Amino acid sequence: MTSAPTTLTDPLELERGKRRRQQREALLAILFVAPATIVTFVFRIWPVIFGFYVSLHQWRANSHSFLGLDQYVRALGNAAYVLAFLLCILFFYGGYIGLRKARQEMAEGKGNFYPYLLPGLILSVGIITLMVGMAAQDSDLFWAGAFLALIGGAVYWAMVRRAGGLVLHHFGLHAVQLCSLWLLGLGLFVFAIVEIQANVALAFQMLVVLAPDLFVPPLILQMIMSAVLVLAALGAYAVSRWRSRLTEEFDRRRIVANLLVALLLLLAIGSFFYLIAAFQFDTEAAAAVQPLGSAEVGGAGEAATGLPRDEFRRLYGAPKGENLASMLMAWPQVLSISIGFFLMFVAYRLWKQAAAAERDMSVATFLGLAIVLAIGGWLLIVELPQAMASGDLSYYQSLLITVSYALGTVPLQLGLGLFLAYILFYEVRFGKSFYRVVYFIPYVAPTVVTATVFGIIFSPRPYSLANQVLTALGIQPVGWLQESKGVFLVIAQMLWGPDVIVPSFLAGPSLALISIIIYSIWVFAGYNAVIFLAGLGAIPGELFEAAKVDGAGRWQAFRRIIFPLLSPTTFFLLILSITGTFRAFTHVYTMRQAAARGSADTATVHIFLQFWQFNQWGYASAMAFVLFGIILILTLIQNELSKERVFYG
Amino acid sequence: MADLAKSSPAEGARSSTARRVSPHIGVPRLQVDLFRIVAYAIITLGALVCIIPFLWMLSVSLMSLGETQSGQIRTNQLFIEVFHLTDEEMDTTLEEVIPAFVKSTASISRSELAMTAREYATKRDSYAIIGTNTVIRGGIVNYIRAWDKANFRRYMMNSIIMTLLQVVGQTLFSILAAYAFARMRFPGRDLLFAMFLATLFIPATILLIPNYLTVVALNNAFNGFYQSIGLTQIATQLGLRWIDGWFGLTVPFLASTFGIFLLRQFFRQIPEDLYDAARIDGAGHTRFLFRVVVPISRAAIVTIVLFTFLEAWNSLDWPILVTQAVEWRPISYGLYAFQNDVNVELNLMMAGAVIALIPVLIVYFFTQKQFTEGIATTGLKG
Repeated sequence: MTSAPTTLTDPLELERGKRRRQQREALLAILFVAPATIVTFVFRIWPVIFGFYVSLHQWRANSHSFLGLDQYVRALGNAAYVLAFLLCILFFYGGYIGLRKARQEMAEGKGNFYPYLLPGLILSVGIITLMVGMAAQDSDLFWAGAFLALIGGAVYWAMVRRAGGLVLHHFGLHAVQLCSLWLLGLGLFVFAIVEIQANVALAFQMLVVLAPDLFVPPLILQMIMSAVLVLAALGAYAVSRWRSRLTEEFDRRRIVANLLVALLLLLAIGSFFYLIAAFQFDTEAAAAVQPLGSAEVGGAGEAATGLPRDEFRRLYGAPKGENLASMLMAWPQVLSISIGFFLMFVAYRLWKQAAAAERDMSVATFLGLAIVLAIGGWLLIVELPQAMASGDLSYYQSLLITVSYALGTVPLQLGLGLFLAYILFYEVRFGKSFYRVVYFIPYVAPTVVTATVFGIIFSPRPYSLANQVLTALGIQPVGWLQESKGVFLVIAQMLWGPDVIVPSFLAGPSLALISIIIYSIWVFAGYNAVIFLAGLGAIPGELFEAAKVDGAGRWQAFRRIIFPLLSPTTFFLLILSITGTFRAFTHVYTMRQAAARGSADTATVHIFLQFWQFNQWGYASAMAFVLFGIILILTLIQNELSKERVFYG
Repeated sequence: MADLAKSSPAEGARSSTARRVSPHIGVPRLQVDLFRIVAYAIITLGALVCIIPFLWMLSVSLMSLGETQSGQIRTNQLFIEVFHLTDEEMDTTLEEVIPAFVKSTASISRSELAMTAREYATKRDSYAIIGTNTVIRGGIVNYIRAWDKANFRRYMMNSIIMTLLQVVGQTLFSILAAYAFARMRFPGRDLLFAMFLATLFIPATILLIPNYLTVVALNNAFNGFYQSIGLTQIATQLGLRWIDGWFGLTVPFLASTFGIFLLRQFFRQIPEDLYDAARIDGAGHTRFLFRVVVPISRAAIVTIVLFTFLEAWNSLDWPILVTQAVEWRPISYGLYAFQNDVNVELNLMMAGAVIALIPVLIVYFFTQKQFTEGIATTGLKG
């Protein structure tokens, strides 16, 4: 900077100056993003890793004991293992995306990707070790990881220097993405298998003692045959892909490929039948041990493990027949639910192909196949509630409450919001901005304030506002936020007296939850209306005008023009409100009352209570991660569906 | 520079939105339309539903305790009645002289008769003493009692400071980061931004426990540090701690992915020519950002300020976690504590609710124009 610009025309000097400017800009930019990045990393990204680590432990203030997936199994029953395998697939897919991008760039002639895998691998191993060391507060592991990461970085740097490329090469990122995700996926896979083996194998040993005349193939054999089934099916698919790429008509390799496919398919079918038979035996055994009490099961456990009673109790607690049954069913459930999801996925792909197909025949074939597969997949997934029911019933209950909360609020608040926005935008001329301000107030007002007010309005006192409205209508006052009975049950009791019998699945969500749903609609309908208004403002008025000229009525204009053009806003709000209901905390926590006996506790509140009142940190973390998984899957599904339905102009 | 600001895209976007929003093309003007009348009725009814709970809250907050339990909707109490008494009158017992502010002598028990007027007014919930010898009665007493006795003074202070720190810090850091992401080149930019975006999908529930553990660890580390340099006293007084201090309450919220994302979208619409012109004028990135970009992005920034403000003012779970002493808790906790009180006095509770609502309403009415504009011109339209 200080040297006088005497040689401005010198290209070398120009180049150097440009470089210096770029470096200065990069430095300033890093300074700009540093505060937000540090905070985001420490309080948004690191906790995900650390929280997962906590969820694998019985976490106390000073000591932590490793439990593995046990707390997930406690929360979800056998569905936890399914979740682990689904996550594995997600990780593998994420890594594969990195590979695909790298190969794309290779095809564009940007160099050779594969050598970068070496530093990528070292770096990934280093980073993962470092993270584990940090979470475990184990300094040896931490430093070992840091050392490995440094070595990986150095190797990478040397390679980049030799190739003369940019410091931050895309290949490096892809390699790290590929290696770290695949390593994590592999680790999780092995971990899940080991966990199942450790938790479930004992049940099979006990079965030999309890019912020696029942034949059940050992767990490890069932697992190996499942692996054979999956690998054979994948192999057959891969070979047939390879075969279809052979161009020559009479290639000898074709014959080999055909033979190989036939062989693999045979293997897959054989292992499939074996598994079906094995699962039949499992189911029979589970039914047989189901009614046994803890004394018998405990005795069998002591005999199978050869441990004295106290030692067995300390290690395994006091299992009952139903625990044993759910353990016996673990592997069948894992496999059938996974296959169910897979079939659903295939059915979805076929469905899309049917939409793209041209001939009627192929449309019919694809559609028929898709429907058959979807039904099959659904029948297999139906096992899921049963798998979950072997877990924590109160958590399962809170998830169901969350679902009914979402179903109760989202459609109504979106529909109302759209309706109000439409009226405000197209029908109202005077005081438009006044209405907009007013409709936004419930959302802007502090949640605790409005929740407190609604807590009083919906209080069970005979003089609360809600009950006064009921009295004015000639209806008996009800318990509102303190009422744990289902809403339909309450209505039926009003109509036909307190002795009326309503089956529990028809009782509906509790009246306490209904009160909270009413509150949520009150808060968010106006908010949605304001966002919809912004969306309506972006629709060109000429289109509406043209429709009017063509003689379209209000409903037609809305259905054919406004609604399709509004779909991005609708989709945005849909995602926002669904994930919002799954995250809802403050108002539910404020409005919940002990007298409702948890009938309005959504999953987030349940988790918070487990954490804060009962000090179950590790367990609460595990439940939170399950909720996270559910939200993630919902978002992914919505994203996939929106690709067809949403019109982005 | 001022000329440059005028031709900004925000300005353009605003006027074009206004043009698109206002006219009702194709709708005949002089036609008595039944649908339209119904529409007005519905929209007004909806507005009433939005407002009524607030009016009811205000009404209850002005009631006497007896009125809250009787189920009436309007209060018969006056808002305020003021009685000036002399010092002498304040210190005479009720046996000798019944002071002017006593409503009816029938409700006075024998033990109360032995009290001085000052003691009586202090003891009875429906009176408050202002200064030394002014007794007031009426709805406003609820507010005074909520403010003083239910500790809302302290909660309010905490909430205001916490919110202010969060709003200032988060807005500043978001502007800086968003500008860097939108306008500057540096290695790893896209990867970093993708990482930021990924955090949008992480629900707060899974962050709660690990963040709490982090904050506890940080608190221990900081306390050790303060002890080693002998500043524990000062640090505790200033609240420079993670548990029961401003750090724990504010630092985790100093970065907002949503804000960065919104501002980045906005900043990217600013034409490149503007920056080139600024550079010719000799302005670097920093000056360009604060002199040009920030002023023309006012609507988007106000949107973020309001959202941050609401979030900070609403937060309940995190402040409960990172504070052990009640003196450090915000106003949302004050209301929540009311809710869980068995012998809750509804009028006090509603007075507290009104107190908690007022700052939000003030901020909202001052920013609502820019705010609705911000919604219309930023990514929020979908």
